[in-house]
Amino acid sequence: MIYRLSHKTIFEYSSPVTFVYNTLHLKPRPLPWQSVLSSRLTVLPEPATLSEHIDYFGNVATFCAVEDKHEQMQVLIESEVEVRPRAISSQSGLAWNEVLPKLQHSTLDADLDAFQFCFDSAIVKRCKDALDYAEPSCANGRAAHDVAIDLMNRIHTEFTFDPVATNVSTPVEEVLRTKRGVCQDFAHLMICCLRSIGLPARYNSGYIQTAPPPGKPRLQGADASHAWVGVYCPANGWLDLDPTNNKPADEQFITIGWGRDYKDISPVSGVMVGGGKHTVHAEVDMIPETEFSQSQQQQQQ
Amino acid sequence: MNDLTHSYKPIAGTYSELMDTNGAVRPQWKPMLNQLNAYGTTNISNRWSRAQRVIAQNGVTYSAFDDPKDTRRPWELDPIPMIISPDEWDFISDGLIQRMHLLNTMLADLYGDQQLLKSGTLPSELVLANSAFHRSCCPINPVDNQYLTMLAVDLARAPNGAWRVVKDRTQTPSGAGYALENRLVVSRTFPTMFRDSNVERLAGFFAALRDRLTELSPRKNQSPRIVILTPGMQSESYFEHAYLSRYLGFPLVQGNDLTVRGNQVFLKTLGGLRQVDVILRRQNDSDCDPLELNPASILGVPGLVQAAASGEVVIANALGSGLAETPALLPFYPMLCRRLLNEEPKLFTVPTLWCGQESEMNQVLKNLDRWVIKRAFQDSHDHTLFPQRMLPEEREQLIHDIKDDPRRYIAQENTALSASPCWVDGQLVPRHSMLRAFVVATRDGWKVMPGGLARTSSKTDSTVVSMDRGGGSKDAWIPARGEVSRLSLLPKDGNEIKLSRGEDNLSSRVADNLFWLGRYVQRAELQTRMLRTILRRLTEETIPDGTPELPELLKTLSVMTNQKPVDGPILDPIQEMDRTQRYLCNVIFNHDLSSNLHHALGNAGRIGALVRDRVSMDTWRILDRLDRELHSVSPDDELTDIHDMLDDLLVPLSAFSGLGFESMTHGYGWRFMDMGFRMERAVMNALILSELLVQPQAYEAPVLDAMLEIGSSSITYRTRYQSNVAIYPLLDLLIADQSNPRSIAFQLELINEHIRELSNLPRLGQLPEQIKATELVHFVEGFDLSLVTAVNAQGRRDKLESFLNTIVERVESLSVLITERYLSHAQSTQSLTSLTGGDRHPEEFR
Repeated sequence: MIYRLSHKTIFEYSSPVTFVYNTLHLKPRPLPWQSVLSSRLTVLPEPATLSEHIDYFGNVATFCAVEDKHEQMQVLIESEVEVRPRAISSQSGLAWNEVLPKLQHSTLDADLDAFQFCFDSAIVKRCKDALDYAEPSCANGRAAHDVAIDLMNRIHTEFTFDPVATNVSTPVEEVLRTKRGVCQDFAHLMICCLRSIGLPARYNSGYIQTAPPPGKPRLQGADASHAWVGVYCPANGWLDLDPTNNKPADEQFITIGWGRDYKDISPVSGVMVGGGKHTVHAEVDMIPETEFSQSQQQQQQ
Repeated sequence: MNDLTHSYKPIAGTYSELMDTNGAVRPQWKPMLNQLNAYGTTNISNRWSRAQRVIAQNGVTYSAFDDPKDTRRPWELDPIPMIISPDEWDFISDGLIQRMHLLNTMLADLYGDQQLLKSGTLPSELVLANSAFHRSCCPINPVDNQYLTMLAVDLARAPNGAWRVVKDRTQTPSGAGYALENRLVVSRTFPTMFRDSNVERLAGFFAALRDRLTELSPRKNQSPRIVILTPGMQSESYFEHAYLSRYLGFPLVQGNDLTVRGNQVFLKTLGGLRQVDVILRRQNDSDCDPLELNPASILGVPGLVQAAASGEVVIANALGSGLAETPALLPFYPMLCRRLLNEEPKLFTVPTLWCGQESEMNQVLKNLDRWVIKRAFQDSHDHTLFPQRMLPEEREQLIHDIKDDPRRYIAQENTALSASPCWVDGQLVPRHSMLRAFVVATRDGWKVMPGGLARTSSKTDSTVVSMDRGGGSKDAWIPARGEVSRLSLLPKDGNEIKLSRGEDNLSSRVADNLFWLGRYVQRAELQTRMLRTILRRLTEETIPDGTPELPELLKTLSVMTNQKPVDGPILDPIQEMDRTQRYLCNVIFNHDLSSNLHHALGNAGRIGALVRDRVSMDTWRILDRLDRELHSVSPDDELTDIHDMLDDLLVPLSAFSGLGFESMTHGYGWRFMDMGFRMERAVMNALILSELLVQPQAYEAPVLDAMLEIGSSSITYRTRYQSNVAIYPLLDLLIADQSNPRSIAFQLELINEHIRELSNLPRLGQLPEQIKATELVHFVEGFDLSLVTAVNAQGRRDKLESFLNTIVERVESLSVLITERYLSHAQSTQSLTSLTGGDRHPEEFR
């Protein structure tokens, strides 16, 4: 499936900003199942510096500095991305409790890379509550990936999607207590549970195609950026699971990249001089090729 | 002959630096002891008390300076150097160089292709789960692959005499500046002893550091701009940063002074941006860049990691070097030394075990009392636990904690430290001691400072010495085998120095500080004058008609200090003496208020300390005196005593502007200071005039007299008019008379001149504030003051009120314009984040 993706973020400040320095994680990374056909980044006001590099996790990162005084900043990324079905590992997996001892002594590149996702990170700290929550999914001898799928299933069933219940700094313990949150909370919670039982888990940032209501046209800007979880087993590699929608990531998912948690891969993070309070507004359009002509007509009208 | 050692008793169970096991003085100490005996006890004590005064006057301090309790601690130095024999020193030097080589090679691997992890040589979680491993620093490629330009190593001597490494300091290896200051003080105090002991000099080490920093510059064809980056006054070793800055001749800057444009780093000066080539940083890795490292840090420079990765700027030590301070890595160094350098380790580390390995953990738990338990990763500050001093339940808890997450703990042997002789109460006594040694990289290798910073503990049973906990320090002497090489960093030849008259390099932050220094000193002066005027009326019986102006004066004071009396205005101050006195003492002494006299004086002193290198020594002494003057009396003293104190306080306050005028070059720095001073005076005078004169009392003469007193223009008025005070001539004298240095017009003329001169800075030209300043001068000049003396139907001088308000507003708006143009960089940064996961309410995002 080919998608046309447009993601616009608008920052408005209550007082002028003299400088802003940003790290952007907006450009999807090339993957075995994902090709980036084109990608164009526009920042307004015109940045003094805009340079791209590959970060420690292999994601495409852009350093961007705006040095003109401004009261509003717009970041727009327009990409064309092809997503193909992912290869499924046919290997039989390791039991969940065999994974960590295996990783500790492995010298394989892939294992070593996965190992770093076992530990506490800036936002996700392993805790007793998460361990207790994960426990019912950890049947003796159950394969690591099956444990993760069961966890995803339970989070999806037991938690309510609620955009006003949490904010960026809501701790996992509170999400567990209120059983409410958004995709980011569910992803962090699931990562926390997986790491608490010794499985490597990472945070994926990207987009998911949403279906418009039957018979209705797709609304512009109605989509949002999305987050889901990757879990690793030395025998099977990474498996991407979306606890918000209770399914493995498939062709409906565009991956920007991943990190230990949101902090490693947040779409825009930065530091500014001045600015007072700021508000953020984002518009995401993810249009599948089947609707290309339709959406063009819509735009012409 | 060795009188001083007669009563010297080594501490049992420790190695004695001074004496061998038979009680005989070790040979390397003999020449110095002979000299000390020749000086004699009285002479030593006298010389030493003189030296301590020098330390106090030089302002050598350690620790913070940020709260009313004044936590600056004077530097504690012992006059007796620690002496290490040349043979032993050669051995230590070789070991230190090997260690520098090892740490550097390890850092290059861990920030590079991580062969040590891929081959399973090091447990990978030591790096991958370590918050000191900064992933964003991986793209940085240091010059010559040297992560460490400088290294400090804490060494301790075990009871068997062997030196062991206790700690490596790789991020901000501090202490070298203190070592140098110690050397200067001791060698000046005992010149003969120093000369005859033929001690290796320290200057060569600093010359090597300076040369190395110069070589590191990416711009090879021109003389590099090198700066020292300090976290500022809150840093415990700020003194050392300022000291090194002066000694090496590199400007001292803070994060706010620097900015990243493109991939280059610039110093923000009044003359514009100046590219920086090399940064000797004195702040921790995580504090250096809020964008890529710790977003909560307000000390950093956004984009610094990116700039360092591009190679356009070199940072020493390289960002990320703090990884080599990880305590859990210590046990692996002997193995890494063999693996990476193919050498046997020369210097051993204090025996350390990482509990993250099962057999090591069991070994620790089996014999817990033998060990000191510390954090394996430097997540938290010095969390040292002593199991043998614990209560049974604390021990159980510790064992539980270790078993629960063993990788978070290391165990270190609780080694007894050696003891060195110290001068205490006129005799030599043993004190536990450690040595901090320093290594600097050179083009083709490494150089060790011959000496170092010896540290001592005042407790006789110490095993861990830390300056944070109030230890002392010593010089360390290495006797030379042959002739010592004499080298000074003072400039050799006059013709090497380019003449420079400008202050192009004056940073915006320093200009900002000078501006506010001027404002606070003037604020303090006017508040003091007002307070003195009030107190004089309360304490003296001079005026036959009583003091009807007192309530007006108190009301004005409450406006100036933004502090009203509790329980409403004081209508009859003489009758309500207790309340009045309480209120006045609050305005003078209360350190919890934000705009009273204590606050203004405190800020003047604090900012004065920040710009100490920019104001003259005399000006500094004035600032230093203000605080002491204020505290020479207490709120419980008689009002007359407080009145006398205010009198005394006015002497340095009045001298400030005169000294600044006489003893600072009239460059941009002085102009900012004087402009702040003039703006404060103009605004405050307009405010006082407005408060006292807009709503005239039936009998105004005493108010007018007080006004002249506050404006210190009584004598001028009397000589001119020889009559009772009247409103019109008073307004003329205090507002319009350009020959009166206290008048508003006089201030505005000078502000206008300063602004005109500042616009001569490169690339500026005719500026809006220049036009406004000139307009304001003309506005006041052309104003007919005879029109504003009349009162309206409500009994108010409304025209005077609006005239004075206009002056206040226009001066304040000039202040804003100046701040925006030259000083706005002093603003701090905040973080910006986007969102994931649908339409959350924006305000929930920070």
